[in-house]
Formats: sequence, C-alpha cells, structure tokens
Amino acid sequence: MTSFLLRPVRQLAQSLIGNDTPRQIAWGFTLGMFIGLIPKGNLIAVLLMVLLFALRVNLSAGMLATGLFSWGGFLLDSFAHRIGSLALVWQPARPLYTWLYESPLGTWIGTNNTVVVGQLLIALYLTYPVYWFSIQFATRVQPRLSKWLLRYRAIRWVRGAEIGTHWGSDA
Amino acid sequence: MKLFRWKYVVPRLILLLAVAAALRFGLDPTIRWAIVASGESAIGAKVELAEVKTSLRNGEVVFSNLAIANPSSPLRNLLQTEEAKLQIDINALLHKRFVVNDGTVKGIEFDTDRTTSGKLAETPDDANEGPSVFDPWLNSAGQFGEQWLDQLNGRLGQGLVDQLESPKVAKELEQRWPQQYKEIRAQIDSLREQSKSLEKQFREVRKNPLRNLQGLGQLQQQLATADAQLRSLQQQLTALPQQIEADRQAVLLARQRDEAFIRSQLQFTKIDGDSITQMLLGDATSQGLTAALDWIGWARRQIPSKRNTLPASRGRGTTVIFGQAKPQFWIKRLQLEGQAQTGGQPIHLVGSLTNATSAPQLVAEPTKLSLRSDEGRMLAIDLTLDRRGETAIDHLQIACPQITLPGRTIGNAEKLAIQIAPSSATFHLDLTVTGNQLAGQIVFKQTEAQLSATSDSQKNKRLIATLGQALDQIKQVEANVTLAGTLQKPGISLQSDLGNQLAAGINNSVKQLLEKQSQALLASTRKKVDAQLERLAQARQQAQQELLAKLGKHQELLGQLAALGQGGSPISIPQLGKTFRFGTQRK
Repeated sequence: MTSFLLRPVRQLAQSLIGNDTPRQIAWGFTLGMFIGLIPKGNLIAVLLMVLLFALRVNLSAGMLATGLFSWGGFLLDSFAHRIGSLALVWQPARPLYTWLYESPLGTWIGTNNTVVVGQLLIALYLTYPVYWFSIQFATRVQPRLSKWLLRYRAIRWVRGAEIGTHWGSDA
Repeated sequence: MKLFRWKYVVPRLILLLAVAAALRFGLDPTIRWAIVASGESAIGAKVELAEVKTSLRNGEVVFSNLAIANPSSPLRNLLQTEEAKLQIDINALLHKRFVVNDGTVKGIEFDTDRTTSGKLAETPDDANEGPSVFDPWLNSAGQFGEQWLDQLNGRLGQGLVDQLESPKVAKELEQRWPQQYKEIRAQIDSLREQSKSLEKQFREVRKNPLRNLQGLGQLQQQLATADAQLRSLQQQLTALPQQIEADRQAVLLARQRDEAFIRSQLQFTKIDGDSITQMLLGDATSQGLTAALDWIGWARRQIPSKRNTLPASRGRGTTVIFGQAKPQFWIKRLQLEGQAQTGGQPIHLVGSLTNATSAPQLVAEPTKLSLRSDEGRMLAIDLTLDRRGETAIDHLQIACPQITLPGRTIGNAEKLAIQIAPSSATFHLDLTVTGNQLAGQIVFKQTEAQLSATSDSQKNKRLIATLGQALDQIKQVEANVTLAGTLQKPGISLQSDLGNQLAAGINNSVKQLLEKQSQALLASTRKKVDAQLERLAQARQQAQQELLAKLGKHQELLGQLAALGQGGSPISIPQLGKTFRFGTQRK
C-alpha cells in the first residue's frame, strides 16, 4: 500500500535522478506525451503503451508524461475534435482513411475518431519540441538537479526503494 | 538488440500465444455453448447441437446435427438440420459484424420425432396459445350448418304426424259413436219396458174397467210421456244422416287445417351458399392463412422495419464511418436443402435465403426466401421481406399442389350430419402486407371432394338418400379468398359458387322430399280418415235401421194406445183389448 502510494513520487524522483541516458528520458517522455494525449481504447494507444514498455526508454519519464498530458489532453479535446474533423474530411486523405477503416482491424485502430486523429496530430506536432525540451532538460538540468536532490535522505531512501523494487521485480 | 526490454516483451509474447491457443481450442465449445444457451432462451425449449467446427483462417463454421425442440410439443422437434456450413466474413467479424457470405444448410426437416423430451426445466408461458383470429368466422358457419341440419331433422321427424288434426277428429268421432249408439239403444230399451208396463196396466184395467177407471187417466199421461220419448228418439234417429254430414264437414275442416300446417312446415330456413362455403373451405383456407400470417408476424418481429440509427458514441469525439454503412447481421446467401411434409408425403425441397439482415435499409436487395420441390409436384414458396423503405412491404407466394384436408363431420351424427372425407387440394396464396395492411388472395381447388350425408337414425334414410344425390354432384371445389384488414384483425371474404350450387341442390332436394313426404302423409291420413268416416257412416246407418225398426214397433203400439184417448171419450175395454191383441199378435 505504501509502495503504491509512493509510486508517483518514486517515478518522479527516478526520472530526475535515474541513470538512463538523456535520449532514453527524452524518448520516454515523448512516448508518454503521445499516450497521454490520445484517448484510450484503440490500437494506437495500445501500440504506444507496448512501445513504451517494450523499448528501452525511461519508463518513469514516460509515465510522468502520460499523467501530465492526460490532464492536458482533456482540455484540448474540443480543439482536437476540430482538427480531427478537418483532417477526416480532407478529400485527398479519404482513400487512406477508407483503406484503414476497411482493413481487418480498421474499427479498432481509432483513425476514424475525430479526437483520436486530432490528438494524434497535436502529439505529432509536439513531438520534436517535447523531445528537444526533454533532452535539453535531461542533459543540462537533470545532472545538477540529481546531485542536489541526492543530498536529501528522503530522496536517497526513495531511490533505494526504487532500486529495491527493481531488483525485486527482476528477481 | 538493446533497443527492446526482452524481460518485458518475452512474457507478453508467451501470454499472447497462450491466449491464441486457448482461443483456437476453446472457440468451438464456446460457440456451441453460446448457440445452445441463446437458442434455449429465445425459444423456450431444448436446443441441441452435436458439434461445431470453426476454421478462422478460412472463415468457415460447420454446425452438425442441430435440433430445436418444439416448446408446445416436447417430444417433437420444431426444426432439425444435419449440417450447416457457413462461410463467414472474418474481416466483417473484426468490424463487429456477422456476415455470412455463403452457406449451405442440408437435411432440414420440420416437425420430427424426438427420443427425449425437449422441455426445459422452466418453460415460459406460451403467449401464442389461444384461438385463431378466424375461429369466430368458422364457428358461426359451423353453428349455422348444425342448426340447419337439426331443423331439417326436426321437420322430417315423427312429430309431424302427431300434430295433424284430421286423424284426431276422425278418431274422436269413431270413439263417440258407440257411446251415442248405446245411449239411444238404452232409451229404446227403456221405452220398450215402459210400453210393456203400460200394456200390463191396460190389461189390468180391462179386467175390471169400472173399478180402475181412475187409473186410466194416469195411464193416459204415461202414454203421452212415452209418446214424447218416442218422438224424441225418432228425431234423433232421423238426424243421424245429418250428423254424419256434420262430422264429415268437421273432418274436412280439420283436413284443411292440416294442409295449411304442412305448408307452413315447408317454409324452412334455406341454407345459404356462403355458410356452406365457409363450412367446407373455411378450415383449409384459415389453416394456411393463419400459418402465413404467423410467419409474417414472426418475420416482422425479427427484422425491424424502422431504420437503425447508429449507436451513440460513448467515447470522446465523433466516430466517422468510411465507405458504405453495413448491417451488423447479414446473411448474403444461404442454400437450403431439406424435407417437408405435404399431403402426408415427404417432399424434397431446395432453395435459398438471401439478404437476411438486421438492417435491411443498408442492403440493396430485399430479404428473399425461395423454396422449390425438385420433384413432379411443384411446391413453391417465395417470401420477400422488403424493409428498405419507410413502410415495410412483405410479399408471400405459396403454390402448394397437394395439401391434406382431414375428414370431418358437420352436424350431429346421431340425427343428421354431413361427412367430408379426407382429401387433398391445391392451394395458391398471394399475400402482400404493406405496413400493417393486408391484401391478398387465396385460390383453393379441391379436385376429389367427397361429401356424404349420414345419420344413425333409420327414419332419416330417405333424407340421407336425397342429400346424398345433391352432395354426389360435387366433385370439384374451387374458391377464391380475398384478404383485407390488418395483421391483427384480418378480414376474409370467401367467394365460391360451390356454396350456392350446393345450397340450391340441397334446398331443392330437401323441398321436394318434404313435399313428397307431406303429400304422402296427407294422402295416407285422408285415406285413413275416410275409411274411419265410412265405417262410422255404415255403423250409423245400420244402427239407424235397427233402432228405427225397434222404435217402429213401439211407435205402432203407442199409436194404438194413444188412439184410444182421441176424441176426449174414455177408452173402451174391447177397443183396448183389441188394441192389445193387435199389439201382442204383432209382437
């Protein structure tokens, strides 16, 4: 129970003081941004989740981004719906949408939903800025912040708990 | 290879494979269980399915030995099939749609025997049980027929003879005359006794006329009384011929009343043609029609006529459908092969079901069911359910070359009834249901109709023969039934010249028979009454002669006695003695 309650804190701390490379943190955060923005219940979201967990990216950064952008995604829904509607009615892309829709898993992919398409487009638009800011943060801010945070016993304890959890799960 | 977290990927892959294997080996039993459970829930009786084989790669599903029990008859199957092979569109299935591109259902049989009861532990009440909508129509015709036959039977019964008046009058007269004769004879005998007494008294007076002079006056009075009685008797006897005439007139009046009564009895209610048509053809046509309407009602419940609206999206945003909208359930084509019973004989049927769908408005063609016999007797069933427009239009055509009509009896067999022998008929139904409105026609043709009259009573023998002649003329029955009204309240109109022809034949035959029987009855009654009257007249004449002869003697005697008192002078003894002598000698 305590582990469950401390998990977000551990993930935040892990993302800040972990040993992953800046690229891993940046990709993890970017993938998390995608997952957070895109509505769940479709294959795109599932695929992104699988990628986040299957690829060697920073999971904590990804989960953190998922949480953050899920809240942000709801706020952007009406905007995403408008963008998605425009995209779905765009005639040149119609054959592609129809092909996707009529493909065996067409109705599960989610590319016929205005908000999914809108959020996907927003996420794609934000990919580079988010990745760039993430990698900048991981390169410049994260080492110094990590050093500063590790001076606190609580953070060291959280880090130890995180390592213990990792070992436990890996055992 | 450091790109992936294999510790995460490998267990998931193994789990995925395990799910796929479970799906592969558990799919068939799961589908079988789902079909049995949903079928039993929908039908309310046992559904048995021996085996299900699926091939997801080929999109093929094979159901073996499906048997659906009849909820109203647990030891019979509503339907059973040997094998149903369906070619399912897997792509559509992934789109949450069940589409059968093609398929064959072999060995379809209806109403077959079961070895075990098909009743479920808890069977819901059958809402379909109840009288047919055509029952009042059939019952009214049947009741009319039975009443008519009872009425006819009553008219021809023995009671008619008992109600005639002339035999009663003749019998009464015949019984009254002996009494009258007895009374007159008694009076004559009394008069004779009185005469003898007078004679005796006169003899006494003659012995001593002077001493008995006073008694002579009394004798004269007694003589006058006897004379009056004599005259009265004479008048009665003289009036006998007039009484015979009066009695004959009474009998004639009674006979006239009898004839009027017989004529009134001939005015019976004529059976009308429509009632006969309904009696003869009502059952056969209503059976087919009720079945057809039931099937259409069932189809209406299964295939909605309202346009299906897209389900409201529960998630975020709007779900756009690309391409043409397609129904959730769609049997594009299903080839059918099986057996049905017609005319008591199994008949092999082949056919097809096309475009059976849950959303007919999304399909270009209407739902069509077509069944044909592949033998000489061409049974053909064509059902079209068109729900593409705002108004549902259903069209049913059935051409049945041989339907079995069970034998039945109309009326009370103990009194008088019409028997219809089991026979076969051809049946053509063309029915269109637009919205809720019915319009259609049934053409019914019975080629070997056998009708006969029957009665357990011997006294109706002649009527049976007469009706038999009229019924024998019917060899072929044709009728057109026009349908109108609504599905809930169908209206039916039967047109056939059969009823009118048969009614005319029966009415004429029965009228002739009644007239003949009435004439015979009147003639026999007249003969009997005439004989009675003749006997009575003869008896009266004989009695008149006999009694007059007897009375004549007394008349003469009394005349002589009376003559003694004429002129107001007392009766002289010698005269009296002479008179008595004369009387005695005559006697």
